[in-house]
Amino acid sequence: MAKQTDLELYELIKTKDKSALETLYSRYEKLLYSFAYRMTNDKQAAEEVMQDVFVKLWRGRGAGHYVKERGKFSSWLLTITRNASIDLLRKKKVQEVEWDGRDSLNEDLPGVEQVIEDKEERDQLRNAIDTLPDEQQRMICLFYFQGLSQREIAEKCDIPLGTVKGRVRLALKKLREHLEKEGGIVHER
Amino acid sequence: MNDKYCGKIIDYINDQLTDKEKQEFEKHLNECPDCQEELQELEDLMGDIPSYMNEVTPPPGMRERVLDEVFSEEDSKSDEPLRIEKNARTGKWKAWAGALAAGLLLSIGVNVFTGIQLNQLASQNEKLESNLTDIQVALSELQERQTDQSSPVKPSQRTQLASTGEGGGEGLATLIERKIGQELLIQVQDLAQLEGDEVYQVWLIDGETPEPAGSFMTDASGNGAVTFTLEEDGNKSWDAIAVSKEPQPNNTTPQGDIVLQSEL
Ligand SMILES: [Zn+2]
Repeated sequence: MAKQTDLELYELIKTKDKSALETLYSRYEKLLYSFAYRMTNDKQAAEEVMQDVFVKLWRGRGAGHYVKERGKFSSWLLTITRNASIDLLRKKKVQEVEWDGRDSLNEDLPGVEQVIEDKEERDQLRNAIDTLPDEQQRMICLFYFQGLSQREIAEKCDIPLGTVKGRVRLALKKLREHLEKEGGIVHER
Repeated sequence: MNDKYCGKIIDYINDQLTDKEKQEFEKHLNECPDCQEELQELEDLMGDIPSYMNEVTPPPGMRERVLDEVFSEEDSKSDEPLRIEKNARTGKWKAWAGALAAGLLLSIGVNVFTGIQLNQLASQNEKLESNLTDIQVALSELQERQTDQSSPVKPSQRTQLASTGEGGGEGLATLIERKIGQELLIQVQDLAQLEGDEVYQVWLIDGETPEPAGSFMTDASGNGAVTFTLEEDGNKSWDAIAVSKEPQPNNTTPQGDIVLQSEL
């Protein structure tokens, strides 16, 4: 039997076909978990993200509803995984503030090192980020890994609100150049 | 062209907009080629970042835990406008469902709702009461799944929750009697939209002391519901019941404004 495509599986999931969800889970477990782990830097949190993502997918409504306009199915899955990670990070931050009192609000954010520290081994992404100037590293950290709002980024970096978008774009562009330069692996796109 | 929405791309990508803002932005996106192009560019730039990350091995047993949790959703009627949320105090849906099924209910007794003027309940509750039927069905299904010795669910006493602020909304608190205990059911409609991490939190108030009694979220039309098991801790009685809008879940004392309340 031919391997079912992601979309075929997704259609079956909409009819509450459990084995279709299990198949899709197996297909994406490692990719999504690894991603959630790098976003949250916490194994427990990454598992919570997985739960959130697959519950949404099973419900098939709101954030869990896929339409072709959202682009490739796998990219869409990564997007909802990223959003679920950001959401969890935000909740954790609120809790920390609650425990530690108001002072921690003013504490400096952890540097990019801490946020994407990989306890196992450095990967291409980490290497590429390290080559960027500090300001661009910070943009990647605040925008991509912490998922902050435009206003929050402007405040943390003490820059005008209107310049945030441009700086994020520049940092992402530079990151991509470095990633492609180091290259080596072929990506499915 | 460059109207106020064009500046929201970053917040759109990071999922930082409220539902309403998101809808407005998406509407704008359809009409603004600049935004379409920028969004596409940013998404392309971000798109393959994950493929440069090392793989991490998932912890043992995760597959089962995740899938179990997902499929346990199946029968809980998640398509209904009401959402039965986790009990904020135990924090564990499964533990809660187990307790419900085992009939570990009741503490405060039928007298909680003495003094309720049942004749307050006028026809405007029709909508709420039809929702109630759904919840009863959901509850009894849940119970049947967990145990053979299911007892029939019947609402015993109820009180109307009145809006306290400008936000509007109304609600109904119902005490559901079972053979062995009681369940408190709160249903609301027309409440203001929640934003970010906000939740609606139910409180049972004894004198000055509020105790959390379940939290819930609302759907797009401001409907929501939650059930709460009354614990077995003697003959405690309560003076009032209130619903507040909390900035985040799991608060043990109210931080937000009370939106609905009723004396008991
Ligand atoms: Zn625009």
